[in-house]
Amino acid sequence: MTTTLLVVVVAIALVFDFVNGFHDAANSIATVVATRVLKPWQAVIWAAFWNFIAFAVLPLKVANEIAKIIDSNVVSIGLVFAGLLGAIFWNVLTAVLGLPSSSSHALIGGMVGAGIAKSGGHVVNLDRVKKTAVFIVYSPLLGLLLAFTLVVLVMWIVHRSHRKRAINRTFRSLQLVSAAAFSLGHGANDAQKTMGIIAALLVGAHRLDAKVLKKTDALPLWIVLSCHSAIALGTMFGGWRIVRTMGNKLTRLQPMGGVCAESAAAATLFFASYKGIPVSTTHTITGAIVGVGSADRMSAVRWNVAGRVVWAWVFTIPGAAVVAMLSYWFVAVLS
Amino acid sequence: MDRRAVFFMCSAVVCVLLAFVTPSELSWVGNVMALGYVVLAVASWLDYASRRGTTR
Repeated sequence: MTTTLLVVVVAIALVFDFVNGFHDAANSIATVVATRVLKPWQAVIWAAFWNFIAFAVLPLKVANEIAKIIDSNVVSIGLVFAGLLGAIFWNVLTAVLGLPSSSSHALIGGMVGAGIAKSGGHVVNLDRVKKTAVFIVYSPLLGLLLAFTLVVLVMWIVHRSHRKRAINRTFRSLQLVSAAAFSLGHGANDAQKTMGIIAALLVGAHRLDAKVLKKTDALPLWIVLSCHSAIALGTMFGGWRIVRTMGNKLTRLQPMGGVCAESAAAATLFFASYKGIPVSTTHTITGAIVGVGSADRMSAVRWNVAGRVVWAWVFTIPGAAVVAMLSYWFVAVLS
Repeated sequence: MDRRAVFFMCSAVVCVLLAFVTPSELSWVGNVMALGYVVLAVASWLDYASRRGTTR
């Protein structure tokens, strides 16, 4: 019975990872498709490939951090199930309300809420939650800072050139590199969050030695590969949907701006992954796009959209935590 | 008034304030970002001022 429940909760975690890739596919491939550098099917495969191989490039520090957010002695199947339920419910609710929410922060909020509901606040590792919380603000601001600086530098370098067509062609090619870098960062940071949840679950259920949480490279390969496969498959399926429905709305993006935004967001994600900090890829690329837009003029930025993102920053972790707490109590009553 | 410079200065203030609550091993991130935003605010204001000077 326990094994069956364990398999079901691991499967739910992987579905969550798949949906994460599905939602974030647009961030990785929108610019290369909009500027017709790649055909939609090529862009989807390109992004999914870099999502998948991220495990071979960046360390698994984010997974390790997520696995230790809740004291491993109290992690149980019910707790992880309630945490995932809280995160999924919050994501669906915000999608219905049209609020841009971060799956990553919903997941962290869900785990924290379920942990508090089970054993109280002392089981939550506050230092790790604090680190995640401050980077909710830092990551878009860092993306914005880097993107603005990069786009101003690039404009300064190319503004005297009369070879506009050659410059445009160069940036169209560079988009392949920047989209790959962003997909790599996305795969590394987001897939590792699910890895951390699965590792915590297996340690809590005594199916995995707690020593694996002491090192960053000790996670079983099947966890690593299954999480990267789930996010890569999500990107492939999400990519198709987004290309079909959104492709035309994004044609105003210029190759140079796309390259700068993606490169800045990728650099932010690499830094966060290297330091073991879970960040939202959506918030990061949003900050970078605002940076590129504000280099032109402040009115080029849709500030009402940016304002809605800020509301999502504030409410996601506590919102998902409350839903997860209610879910845990509901699961406890049922069992 | 240069709204972009004001935005960058506000971002710098946010980064400085966040540096106080950031875990010690990463508090340098907030300080470096604040410095970056101050530089951008000054550069943006200089650009704005020079454009106004040119159009007069």
